[in-house]
Amino acid sequence: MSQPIIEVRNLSHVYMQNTPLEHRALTDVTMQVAAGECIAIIGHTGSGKSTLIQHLNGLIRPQSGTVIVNGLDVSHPKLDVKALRRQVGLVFQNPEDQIFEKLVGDDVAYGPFKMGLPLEEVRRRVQWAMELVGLSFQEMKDRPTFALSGGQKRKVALAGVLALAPKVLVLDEPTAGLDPRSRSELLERIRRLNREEGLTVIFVSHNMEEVARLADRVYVMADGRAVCEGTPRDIFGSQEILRAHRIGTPESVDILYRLRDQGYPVDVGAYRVEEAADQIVTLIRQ
Amino acid sequence: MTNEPLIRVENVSFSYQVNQEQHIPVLHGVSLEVYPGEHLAIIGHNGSGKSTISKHLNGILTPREGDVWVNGINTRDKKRMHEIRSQVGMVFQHPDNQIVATIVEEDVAFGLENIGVPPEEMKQRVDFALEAVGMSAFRHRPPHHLSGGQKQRIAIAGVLAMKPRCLVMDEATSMLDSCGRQEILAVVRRLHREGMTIVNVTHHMSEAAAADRVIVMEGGRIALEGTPRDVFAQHERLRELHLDVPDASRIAAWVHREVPAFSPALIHNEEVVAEVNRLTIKRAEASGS
Repeated sequence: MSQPIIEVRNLSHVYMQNTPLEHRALTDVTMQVAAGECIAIIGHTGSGKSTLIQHLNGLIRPQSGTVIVNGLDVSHPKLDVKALRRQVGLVFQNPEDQIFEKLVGDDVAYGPFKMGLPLEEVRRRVQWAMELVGLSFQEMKDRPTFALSGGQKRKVALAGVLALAPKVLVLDEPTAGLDPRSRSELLERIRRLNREEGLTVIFVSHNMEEVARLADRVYVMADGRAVCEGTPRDIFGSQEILRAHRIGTPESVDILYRLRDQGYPVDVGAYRVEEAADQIVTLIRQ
Repeated sequence: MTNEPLIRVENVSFSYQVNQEQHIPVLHGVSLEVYPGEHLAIIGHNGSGKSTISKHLNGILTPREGDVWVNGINTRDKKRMHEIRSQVGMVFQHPDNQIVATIVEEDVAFGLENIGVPPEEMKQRVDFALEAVGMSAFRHRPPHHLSGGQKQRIAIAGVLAMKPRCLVMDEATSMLDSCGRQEILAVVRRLHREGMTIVNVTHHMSEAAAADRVIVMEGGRIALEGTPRDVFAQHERLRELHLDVPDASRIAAWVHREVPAFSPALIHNEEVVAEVNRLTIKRAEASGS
């Protein structure tokens, strides 16, 4: 692996420490992300995924262990939080909550404006970010934000983060609540940001079709620990991993496992729909 | 289903008001019925009006034109809102907006306290509801430290505790992980088996495939309606409507192109497996082995 842009070592986090409601969210988590990678973090609800990613832009500071982002030590008491957040853009799970301006263009401009960039540069970045997520700058900049559909709001929130020109984009459930077309479009945008703009992408997802389609590597979280790591093929191809950590499978993989359980010789690591269909064609023609 | 509909939506139009001059029309003359005991799925892209129609089903929104009747009560009748809501319960997409108490079991009991259920029955109903969503172990926890999926299960428990005749889910599983989603869907299947009417507004085509009937919304109108098999046979039309088909259907269509004997009209994973069995067994028989 090339020089990691993110390095998490032995990270632990306890909510409401030393109270009766103490709750251990992360235990000894270690992960490395190379510049330009696209990483999925999966695991069932309550496994610590969201707590982990909130460390990446300093929303939560490490209680023990270290988090280093592009040379910035997140646990350092004199951390330049602003510098960190220019490097790492975080898109929350319900990005509707992140929209507070009346007009789309103003909302996307908020971040770069607060960074103190000259007005011309702000405008340029807003245009760039809006076009990247598929919102026409001319048509949409003066639209009222409250009248947007769910998919459009998601794009506005994403554009607002991209306008900060981060090196790392962290997304919590990027497509939850979107219709199939909007989901597909947004995934394609994220893929292009990753492949063409060179952004490092880390996303939390419970949609296994999305993980299968996007991720180079997958980290599996369970009970606050990073329990395993591998390519989508490694993860979806291992029933032991899937069962042990209650990970759902893409539907295509579910069909392959059902076939294998009946004694058919199928490659359960063929996780894409077309690959799975080809496996079935081969079975029938054998 | 020859019986009377539980919910009747008659020629409903609705628009959101931006300001005094500006309205954004969302629904245009929508009519539909929900029958007792049926499992209806409503699908459609973001902005198609499916969420808006679902909010009409228990009077959260009332029509600008047309009427909605819940068991014979017009939802415009604000004095009878209590009766309407006790019959049709609703769970939304974002659990955070639905949680009001600081302890899980108090949150589930909240609706019951409001309608004056006696303590002993209240305890039973809360037990049942928490059990149904698999959250009994969390009853004394503060909800704000639960994950999104766990919170949603609490929100669903709050509605189940009210024992409604009809459960309307407005993308209620879209924030859950696949295991959480499977658990909720198992709960819903059980409730449905026990006679509860289910209306599921969803983006998951495989969820819609599990319904008795599917309504597809587009531009504030009903664009398609039928059994899941009929609806999901229309790949092209669905794509035009920004929708998709279940992966099982995509796989079946793909295999059918290569092997014409393989049925393209499949919507469930188990059907794909059965079709593979049918064809491989037939071939084994043909070759005499």
